[in-house]
Amino acid sequence: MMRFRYDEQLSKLNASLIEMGALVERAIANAAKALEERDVKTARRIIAEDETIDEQERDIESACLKLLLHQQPVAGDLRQVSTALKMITDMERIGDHASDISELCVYLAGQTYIKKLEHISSMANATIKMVKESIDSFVKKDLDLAQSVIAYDDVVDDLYSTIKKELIGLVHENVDNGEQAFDLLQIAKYYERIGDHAVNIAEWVIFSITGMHKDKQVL
Amino acid sequence: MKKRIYAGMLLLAVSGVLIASLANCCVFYSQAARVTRADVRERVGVFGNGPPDAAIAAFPQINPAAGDGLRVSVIAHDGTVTYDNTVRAETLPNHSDRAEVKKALESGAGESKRFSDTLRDETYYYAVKLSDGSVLRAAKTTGSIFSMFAMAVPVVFCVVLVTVAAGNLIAGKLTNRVVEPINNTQADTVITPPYDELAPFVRAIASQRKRTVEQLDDLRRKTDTIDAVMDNMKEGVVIVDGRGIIMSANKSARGIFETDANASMDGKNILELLRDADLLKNMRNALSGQSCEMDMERFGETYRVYFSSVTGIGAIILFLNTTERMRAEKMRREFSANVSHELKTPLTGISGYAEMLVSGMAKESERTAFAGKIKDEAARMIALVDDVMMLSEMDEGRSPRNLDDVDAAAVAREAADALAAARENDVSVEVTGKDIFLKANRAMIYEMFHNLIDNAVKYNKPGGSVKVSVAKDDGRVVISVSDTGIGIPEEALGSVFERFYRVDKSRSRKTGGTGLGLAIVKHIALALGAKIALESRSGEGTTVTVRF
Repeated sequence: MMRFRYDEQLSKLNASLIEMGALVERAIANAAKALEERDVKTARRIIAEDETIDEQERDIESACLKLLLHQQPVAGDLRQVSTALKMITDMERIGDHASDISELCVYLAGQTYIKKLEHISSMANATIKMVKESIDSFVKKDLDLAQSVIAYDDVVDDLYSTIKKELIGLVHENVDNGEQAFDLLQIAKYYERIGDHAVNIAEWVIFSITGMHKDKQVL
Repeated sequence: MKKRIYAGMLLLAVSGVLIASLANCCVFYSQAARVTRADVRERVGVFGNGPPDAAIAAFPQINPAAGDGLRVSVIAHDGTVTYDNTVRAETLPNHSDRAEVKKALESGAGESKRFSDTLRDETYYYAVKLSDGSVLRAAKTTGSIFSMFAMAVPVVFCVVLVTVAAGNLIAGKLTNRVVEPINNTQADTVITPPYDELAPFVRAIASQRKRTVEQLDDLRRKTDTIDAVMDNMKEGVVIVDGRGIIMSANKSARGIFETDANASMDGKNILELLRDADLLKNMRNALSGQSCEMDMERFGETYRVYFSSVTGIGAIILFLNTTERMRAEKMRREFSANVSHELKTPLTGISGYAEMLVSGMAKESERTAFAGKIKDEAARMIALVDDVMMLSEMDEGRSPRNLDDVDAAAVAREAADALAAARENDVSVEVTGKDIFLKANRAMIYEMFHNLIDNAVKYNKPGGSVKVSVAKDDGRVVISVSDTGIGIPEEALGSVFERFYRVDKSRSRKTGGTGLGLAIVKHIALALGAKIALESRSGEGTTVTVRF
């Protein structure tokens, strides 16, 4: 009876994590769309929905702590629970960044963009891919996929420095571009951070499979 | 079973032992009583009608505690005891009321039997009358039938104990021996009853099994049918339980979930396969009994997803691929918007000129010109409506009717001649080829040439030329129309076959095309199974080749 409940709790934890992943994925995909289509309505909805993600984080957190307290999991199960605890922090941060981007999107809605958003769009797509694959790797327990997510972060970092250079150029051309350039750089930075969080998630997925975190034996 | 056999055995054994010992006691007792009686009668009977002295002499005094000697008394006629060989006679009471004494006095001999107070002992009395009228009485005391029973009890108890122990053992063995053939009977094929008594059971089991097999087959057939239907459905069907765990999914659904077609998805949480927050929300709604639907994109395809709640099971999720429908719908929407727009332009002109004529604002000299403009615009509208009707007819996808051998070259000439009247900027049209027949609808071929030559003339430079060639290449009819016109810019090449697409919008107003010409040509080529190719260089000219 006790074991049955335990297994049930673990699979429920798994399902809630995937659900939170789905929420986060939707948030950043919608944020990218809102930014591109200058859709203030969607942007506001994302900001409102961030509360759901936060709530989900709290729920999972308390579920994890309860599991640790009542069932005292060991080995693989312990890794699963601790991975969940770490992953939700990163996912919650990704949700926050999606909400931050949306806020800037609302702010920028009245202005004409000083440049085409091509690089920011590809950055958005790259990070969406990273987040999706990091959660995929968790769902499928796919070590290779997790490692490829970590490697893909370089693409996002390169895009960030490209955008930075471009924006600096634009400010040089015309100082009036400065204000929007800052906002756009901030958006790029948020995407860069989202990429980092996806890398964190992938690292924790690797830990949950192998017990190694950043090539060090932890458990 | 063992218990019942054991209990039965025990009951039988114990009652047997008890009844046997009881019967034994009775038999032994009656034998012993008979022996005692005979002994006493023999020993006392000899003194009958004899003198009392002889009798007294024969039975001297004995100590009654010493053994089982015969107690003898002499009782006078009045009942007084005159002699007793065990106690002093004076201490004894009058014996005249004793049954044996009475009988002896009456008939010369008498006997009786009496129990002691505890019932343990029993005394047999025998009396004979002596010559002097007194009575000689002898008494012999033996154990009663009850004491005999009492003696037998411990033995019986021991025997019962042994029986219980042995019974337990034997009952077990017996049970095994009875049950073993039943256990060894194979229940998978035809059952042969180990005992005749079990035949009705076996028959019942056999018929029940037959029924079960039939029902199972029936069920399997039904499941197979459902599986076959499900797997051949174009729509994806997924059945989930109350927690969102997939209970069943068909082949199409597996395609949507991008799972290996052979891998089973059953038992997995739907979230693991399709991580979509909206889907989850709708599924929860359905699980709480509220049917709903949503649109979903996956791998570039659009799906309409229906969620229906199934009481007691969970929910059914149906995925309908609406990609084609959405695309067609979008095209239709755009087409009708374009048609309306295109129709509105000439109408606005007509209405404007008509208004000026009605209000008298037009000078007398302008009236003819205005009427001419109205006529031109109306002609444009008619041309447009004709084109739209033709396209719609071809959109219906009906196969072309009235197929006969058409001389393509002749039709080309006919079309060129018809257009010659309307030719504006001095463009020459030359048609080469003769007697080239192909199987087609004549009106369609005419329409095709008409549109192609019309375009070639319209978008030409002043003094330019159009070459129409109808030839046979490798057994196929090849039509090509080339001009020396303005050409089509490279970036527009991909769009010229689209409906209402115009390379230069301002110019087309002047030339008065509908924007549907090439779309119609493309449709005709498609309907006749021909391939269409377009080559063009901006400023140098365009060549359209249709290969049947």
